[in-house]
Amino acid sequence: MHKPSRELVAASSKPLVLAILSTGESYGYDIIQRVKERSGGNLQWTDGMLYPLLHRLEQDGLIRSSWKKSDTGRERKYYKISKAGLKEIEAQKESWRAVNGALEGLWSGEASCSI
Amino acid sequence: MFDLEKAIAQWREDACQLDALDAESMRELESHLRDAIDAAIDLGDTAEQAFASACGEFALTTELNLEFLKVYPHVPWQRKALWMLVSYPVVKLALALLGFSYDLVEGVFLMLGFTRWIDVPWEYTPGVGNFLFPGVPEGESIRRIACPVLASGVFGVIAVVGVAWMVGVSLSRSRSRLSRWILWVGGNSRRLIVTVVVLGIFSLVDNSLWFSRSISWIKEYALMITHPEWVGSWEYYSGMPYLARYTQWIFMGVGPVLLFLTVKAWWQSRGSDPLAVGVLGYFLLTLIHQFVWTIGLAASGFAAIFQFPESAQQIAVPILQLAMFVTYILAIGRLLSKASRGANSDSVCANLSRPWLAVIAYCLALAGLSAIVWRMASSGSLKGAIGWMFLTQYGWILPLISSLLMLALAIRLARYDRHQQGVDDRFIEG
Repeated sequence: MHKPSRELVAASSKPLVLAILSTGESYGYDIIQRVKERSGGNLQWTDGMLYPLLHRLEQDGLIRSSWKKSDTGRERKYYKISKAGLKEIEAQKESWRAVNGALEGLWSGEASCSI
Repeated sequence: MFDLEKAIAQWREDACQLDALDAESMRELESHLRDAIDAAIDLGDTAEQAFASACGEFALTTELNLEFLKVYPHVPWQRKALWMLVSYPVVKLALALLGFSYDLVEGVFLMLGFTRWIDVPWEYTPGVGNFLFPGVPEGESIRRIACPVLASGVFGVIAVVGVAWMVGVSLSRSRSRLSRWILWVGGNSRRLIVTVVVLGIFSLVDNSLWFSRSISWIKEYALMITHPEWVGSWEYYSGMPYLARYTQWIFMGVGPVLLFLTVKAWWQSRGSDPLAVGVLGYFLLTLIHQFVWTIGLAASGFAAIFQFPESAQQIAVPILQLAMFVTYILAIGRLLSKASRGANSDSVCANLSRPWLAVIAYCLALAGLSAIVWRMASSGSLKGAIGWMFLTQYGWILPLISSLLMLALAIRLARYDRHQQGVDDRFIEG
C-alpha cells in the first residue's frame, strides 16, 4: 500500500489527534503510538512534530493540558479534549466525509466508465 | 561505560540550541524521549541502543524549531530579553568585585610593608579646582607615587585586560564555557531563583550609599594601622588619578573592542549565543542609563531656563517621580501576573513577556530621579536642601523597592515551577 503524502499526513493530523483525545486523555508518546497502530504503520509522524500541533490546538482552546504523575512516578503532560474540541470534531467529520464522498463518487464513476 | 543520564543531559544541551523551545516544551520533549527509551529497553535493547533509536526518531532539527516558532514566535525574544536584563546586574557585580580586588591588592601591599615612594617619570601639576585631584595645594606637583597605589593600578590594568581577553575569546567561540554556564543557570528554575535572589541582594547593596562609602574599607583600615599619617594626605590619594591619566586609554579601548566582538558574535550566532546577547544587553542598558541621565539634566535645564516658580517645581517633580515609580511597579506587577495566565504559564520566560514595558518605565523613573537630584542639588534653597538630604539619607529606599520586586519575582518563579522541579528531581533520581 502507498504511504500517504507528507501534505496529507499534515492535513489529517489535527482530526486524528482530536479523535484520539475524544476517547480519553492522553500524552504525546501515547498519541503517536496509537496513530501508528491505527494506521498499521502507514502514517509515520516525526515524533517532535506532534508537540507544536498539540500546543497550537491548546492555544485554540480545542484541548487542555495538565502535568500529572504516571504509574512509573514520572510526571507527564496529559491532554484532554475541551467542549470546543468536541464541536470541532463534528465539523472535521463533515468536512472529511464531504471530501471522502466526492472522491468515492468520482473514483466509482471512473471504475464504471472503464468497465 | 554508557551513562544514560549524561547522554540525556547532552541531548538537553543540544535542545537548548533550538531557541523557540521554552522551558516547558523542553521538559515535555524530554519526557517523550524517556518514554521512548523505556519502551525500547522493555523490548530488549540496551540503554545505549535505546537512547540511539529514541534520538533517531526524535531529531532536533531546524524544521522542528520552525514549527515551534510558528506557535511561539515570541519565545526567542523573551529569552534574549531575559539574558539582557539579567546580564546588567551580573556585569555590575563583576565590576564591583574587580574594584574590590584593587583595594585588596593595595591593602595587602600596605600590610606587607611594601610602602616605598617611587618617583614618577612625568611630573604633573593639576592646579586648583581639578575635581579629579581634590586637595592638591596650588602650585604643587605630583612627583612620586606610593608603591601600594602603583601595585593596585598595575593590577587593575592587568585584571581588566585579562577579563576582557577572556570574554573576547569566549565571544569568538561558538559554544564557549561562559555561554554554556549561562544556559546551565537558565535551564533550571532553582538555579535561576538563586541567581535572581543573589542579584537582588547585590542590587540593594551596590546602590546603597553605605556600600559606596565602605567599599574601600580594607585599604583604609590597612592605611590607618600601617601609615596613619597618610590618611587624608593629598600626595597619597593623588597617586591613583595620576595613574588613571595614562591607563584610562586602555580602559577606553577595551569597551569598543568588546562591543565589536559582541556584535560579531551576535551576527554569527544569529542572536542565539547567550554570552553575546547578555554583553550586548549590558552595553544597551548602560547606553539607556546615560541617555536617561542626559534627559533628566535637560529637563532641569529647561525648568531653569523658563524660570518656573520654585514651589511649582518642588511639588511637580516629586509627583512626576512618584507617577513614574507607580508605572514601574505596575509594569513589574503585570510581568508577574502574566506568569499565571496562558497555556505556557509555567515557563520561566513567560515572566518577562513584556520586557519593553519595564524598560520604558525604568527609564522614565530614572529620568525623574535624575531631574530631581540635579534640581535639588543646584537650588541651594532650604526646600532643595531638605530634598537633597532626603535623597542622600534615604537613598536606600529605591534599591530596596527594586530588591523586593526581584524577591517577588523569585517567589513567583518558585511557586509556578514547583512541580517542574519535581519533574527534575524524579528525572535525576530515575
